[in-house]
Amino acid sequence: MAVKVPVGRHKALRGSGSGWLSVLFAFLLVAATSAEDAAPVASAKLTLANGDFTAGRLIDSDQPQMFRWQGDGFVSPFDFMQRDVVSIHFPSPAERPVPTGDYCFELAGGDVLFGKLVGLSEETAELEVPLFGRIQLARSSLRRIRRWGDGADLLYLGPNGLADWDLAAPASAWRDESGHLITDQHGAFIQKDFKLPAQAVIEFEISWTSKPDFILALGVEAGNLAIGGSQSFRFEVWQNHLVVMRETENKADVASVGRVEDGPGRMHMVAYLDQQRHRMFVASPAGNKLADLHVASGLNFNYPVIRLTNHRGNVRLERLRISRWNGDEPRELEADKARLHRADGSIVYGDLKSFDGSAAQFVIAGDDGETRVAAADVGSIVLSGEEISGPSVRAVLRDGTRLSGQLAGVQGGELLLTYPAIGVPLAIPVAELHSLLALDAQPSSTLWEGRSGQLKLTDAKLTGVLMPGKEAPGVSSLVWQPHASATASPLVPGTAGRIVYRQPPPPQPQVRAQPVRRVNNGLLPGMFNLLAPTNQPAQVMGSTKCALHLRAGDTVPCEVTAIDERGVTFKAETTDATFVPHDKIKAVELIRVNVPINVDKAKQERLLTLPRMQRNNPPTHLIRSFNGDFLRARIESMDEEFLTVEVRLESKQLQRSNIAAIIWLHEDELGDEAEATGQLSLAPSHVQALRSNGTRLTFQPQACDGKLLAGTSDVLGRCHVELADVDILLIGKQVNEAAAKLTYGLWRLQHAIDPKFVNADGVTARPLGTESDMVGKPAPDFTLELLDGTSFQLSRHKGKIVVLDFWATWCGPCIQAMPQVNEVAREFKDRDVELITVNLQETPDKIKSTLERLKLDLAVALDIDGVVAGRYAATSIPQTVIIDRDGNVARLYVGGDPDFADQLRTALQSVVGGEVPEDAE
Amino acid sequence: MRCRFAASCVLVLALALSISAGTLRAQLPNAQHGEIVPRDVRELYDKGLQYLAKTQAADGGWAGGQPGPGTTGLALMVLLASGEDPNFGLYSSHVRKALRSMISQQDATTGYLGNSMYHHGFGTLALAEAYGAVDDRDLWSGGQKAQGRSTGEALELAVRAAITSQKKNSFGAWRYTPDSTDADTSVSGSVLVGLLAARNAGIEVPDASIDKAIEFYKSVTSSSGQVAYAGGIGGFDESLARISIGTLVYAIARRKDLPQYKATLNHLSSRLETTQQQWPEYTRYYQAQALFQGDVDAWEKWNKLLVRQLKQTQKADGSFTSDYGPAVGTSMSLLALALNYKFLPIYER
Repeated sequence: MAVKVPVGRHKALRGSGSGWLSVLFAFLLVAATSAEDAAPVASAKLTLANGDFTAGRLIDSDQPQMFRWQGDGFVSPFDFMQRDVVSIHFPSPAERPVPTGDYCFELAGGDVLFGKLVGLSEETAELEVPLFGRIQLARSSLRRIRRWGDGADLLYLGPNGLADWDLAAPASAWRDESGHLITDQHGAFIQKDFKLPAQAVIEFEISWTSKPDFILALGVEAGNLAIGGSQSFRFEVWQNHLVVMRETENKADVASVGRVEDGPGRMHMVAYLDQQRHRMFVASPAGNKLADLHVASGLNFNYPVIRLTNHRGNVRLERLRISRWNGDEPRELEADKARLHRADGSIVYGDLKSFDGSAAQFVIAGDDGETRVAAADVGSIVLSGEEISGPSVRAVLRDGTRLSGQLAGVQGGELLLTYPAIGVPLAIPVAELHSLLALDAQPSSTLWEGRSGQLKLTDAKLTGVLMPGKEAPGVSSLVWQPHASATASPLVPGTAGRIVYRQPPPPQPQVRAQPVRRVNNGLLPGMFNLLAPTNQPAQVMGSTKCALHLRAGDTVPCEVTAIDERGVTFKAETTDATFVPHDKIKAVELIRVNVPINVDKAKQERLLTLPRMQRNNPPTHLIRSFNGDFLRARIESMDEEFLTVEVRLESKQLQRSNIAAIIWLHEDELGDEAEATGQLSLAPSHVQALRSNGTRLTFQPQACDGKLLAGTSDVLGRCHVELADVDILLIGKQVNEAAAKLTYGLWRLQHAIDPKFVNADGVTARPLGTESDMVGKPAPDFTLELLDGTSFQLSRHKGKIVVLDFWATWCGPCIQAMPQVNEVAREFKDRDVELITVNLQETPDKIKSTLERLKLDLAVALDIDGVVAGRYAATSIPQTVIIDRDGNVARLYVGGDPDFADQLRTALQSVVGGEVPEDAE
Repeated sequence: MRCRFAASCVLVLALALSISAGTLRAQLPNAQHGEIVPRDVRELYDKGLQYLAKTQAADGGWAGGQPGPGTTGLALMVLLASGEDPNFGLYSSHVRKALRSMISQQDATTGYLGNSMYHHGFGTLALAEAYGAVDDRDLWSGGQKAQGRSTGEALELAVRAAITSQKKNSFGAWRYTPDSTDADTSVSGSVLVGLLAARNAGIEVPDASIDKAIEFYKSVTSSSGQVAYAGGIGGFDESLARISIGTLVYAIARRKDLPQYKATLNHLSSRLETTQQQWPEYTRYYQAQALFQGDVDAWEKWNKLLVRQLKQTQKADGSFTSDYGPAVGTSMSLLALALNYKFLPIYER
């Protein structure tokens, strides 16, 4: 084995033949100094072979073949065996570093290093790699040496895991496997903006296990989600042919590049893409030209994205390599032979024998003897070698370096990777990692005691079991043991999530209730009967039991004995608690109703719409009688006989025996849904057990023995659940979110919608006047008597512009708007504009006295029966209609803004013909 | 008409109480703490009262917002309406300081109280309410004694200023400055109520003046009970404040016979649950009095909502915010509530 020369802080470690453990020990001494300045790593994502994942960070561990993982939301780390882990993706910096060095060394197994070549012998190659210093590796592992920075730069070598791609849709359809990306879903695609240069070489290997049908599109416009992108060059499967094609505005071409058969298969091709010249060559890896496509386009563009879409069967992207291309046509060559490509394109066949560092020359031993080529003339060198076996993990660094090997541990913020051809662990700072990909992930199948469930947090999904635990400062009593981890960890208190043991069955289809015969109870009969149920049942309200429903979603079977200003007093067999304050209650059911009452959606909406008039005095309760009538009120008290309520500021008494249920309409639920869900005053570490019998129990968990979870309920005091009975355990904030979606939780008051002119943002929504369907259509003709005794027929005024202003004396906004309309119409008097105000169904006396008060003198048409208003759909007034010279409706405005005069003036200017009347200012 | 010469606190208070009760019968001075005033109201009022007492400036006024005789007058009325004895009670020194502050800000020649006719109106009303109730024989001391006017003199002077201003006004009403030629129903409300209170207190106010002002209100009241802001300005948009002012001036001017009064009262009492979004404290101040004057049953219902809303909006220090500062906000909110005590003469029905 060669000798290592440590250079710089980061070092390649190597030992004697006695094994790497002794080296590791030596490394620990070195690494101790680097641990201090190891930057903390932001959340990365670890994915397990069973599809589970967790956000967090990789932390130090001296165990080989194991990742110690500090998951977000967990108190202590998990130890995941390497074989259970598929990938770890680290957050990418905004700008990825550019590799430095003279050469890009491509190694066996798809690894890549950047650096300088120091020396080369038949046995070893000595490289100077900025990250590791000087390292020596077995020469047989070198596959290709490529001049770096000569225009043939490697832009990408991947696929580097799913997280490396900009978009995988649907995300669940794709998975990482051994460094490959796989999908078997119809329509699934992945894409990435590779910033493809105008001229690029794209080499790819794609395989499948049954007859494939996919599209690989090269040069797709960023943001264009049309399958295949517009005008991209595409590889597609057409029946039994793999074709390459392109279609532009008026041209298209297609060429077959191979056949595909039923069953498994693979393709390995090199595409030379020149987007500027609208041309693409396709060649085999050996350089055999398979197709030459030239499809001109009127557009001159350079699209940066590559997208792979699966249509049928499955597709596996094994390798994708993108490099710059100088535009020279690829030559045919003997692909399986070692060779040297000169920068001028000529090829020297033969094995690379050595590198003469002093003369800066490569020595090639070919059939015709040795050839020496100056390093400056070399484009790339292809070496022959053997495949190496054994690497189980591939580390992809931010600068594009790829290295695979055995995981030896993580120390001082550095990953120790034993690369077979180097023999000693290389220390890779975790902060430099882009991803870690397992090459041989095999999920283990350990059997665990206890009930298995799936813990779902915002950034984690971990299958496992709940272990014994006890609440302590900073530590939740919920201790999770993922199946794939050797260790368990308590949750951080306040973490939101859920444990799913069993998906509850979907709700049963609701049975339509038989009509309930109403009995006049003698109390408020008018109010109750007005709110009778309609015959379109859509939603069952509540259960048929006497119970108390808490805002959090808990149901307490009980008998309610009284309600007072503090809350509800009850008696229950299941708990010693007897009182619950108002802010924790959502509903009470007082009598057993054999048939649930159905409420259709429209009725529910009506019951829950708060009129603007009551905005500052919202009802606090919705009371349902046993026969299905509803009353909105404010409950003052309830005893065994009466319910005392305030209805529209008046106190009323109702017989308690007539009341079936009461729903609390909390004022803090008013408003949008987001606000409403955030109002439950539960501590963030509460849990809610949704039991298989459908009931919920919300409490602060304090201890778990693996079978029972015990704690304290705000309302019921000490309580517990058996985990065997739990379908879902909601944790933290998710309790609130779930409560908002419960049957009673959906009964929340909503503000009536404000009219447009007082929008919430305070900005007047200015109508354009063209919103109405009538605009552009002939104005309905009419004849009406005017206030002065003459009559007005619209059709006789063709050639003039007629403004109709619909109004009434009782309409405040009309009285405000009419003087403005009159004023503006006057300004346009000389432009054939005529104003006719149309009064709705009022007596001439009333109209005259209003006009006198307003000191207005204008033409008033008397729409005594409202027929004309009906023809103009004037359901809201003021309504102002401009009719053009041809007798068509040009504008129609409903409601008068304070600046309506300006709007009308502008509209008239354009209807008149764009002329500004002289007196308009 | 009632006599307003204070002999002793007990006598004065008994007088006020007896009149509010409608018949002449003696009551104990501490009768205000009876069961008829709910605990919620007392707690709200006391907390606000303490805030005002604590924030009274050294000159007797209230700083911040809109300082001046009107603001001082409103706070003075809160002190008077509390039921605490104005001469010997908890807040007697605050009362006297406030009164001195108002009178010393009055123009000795014209009688104009402060920097706008709003101040003048509310100031006049407060003087009228204090007149007779506050023993002002030793209101001024030392050097001040020579220049200091009595409450009655100041009130009389203020009435004269209002009448002079009205005479110059073509609408027969008032606007922001004494010399304004146009008029609005908001400013006019404050001045007219001040004049009516002065008349009730025994100061001579010509009937013609009241009639002219009432004519103005009639001209801007619609048959549906809407009250416009001013002739030709703003039209009849719904303003519960102005509708309340209309109701109140018709009622105190003893013109409940007018159809306009019935219309405004009807409009108001059919919208008890509506809370005006703009200037809510100003609206409540008038709404309370208008409903109380016009429809006690409606007032009782409305009062329940008022108490609920004030409980929600009162700050920890007892104050209520408003666009015109906390002194005005607190005073107007408490005066809306003061109808529960019924101690101020202007609340007589």
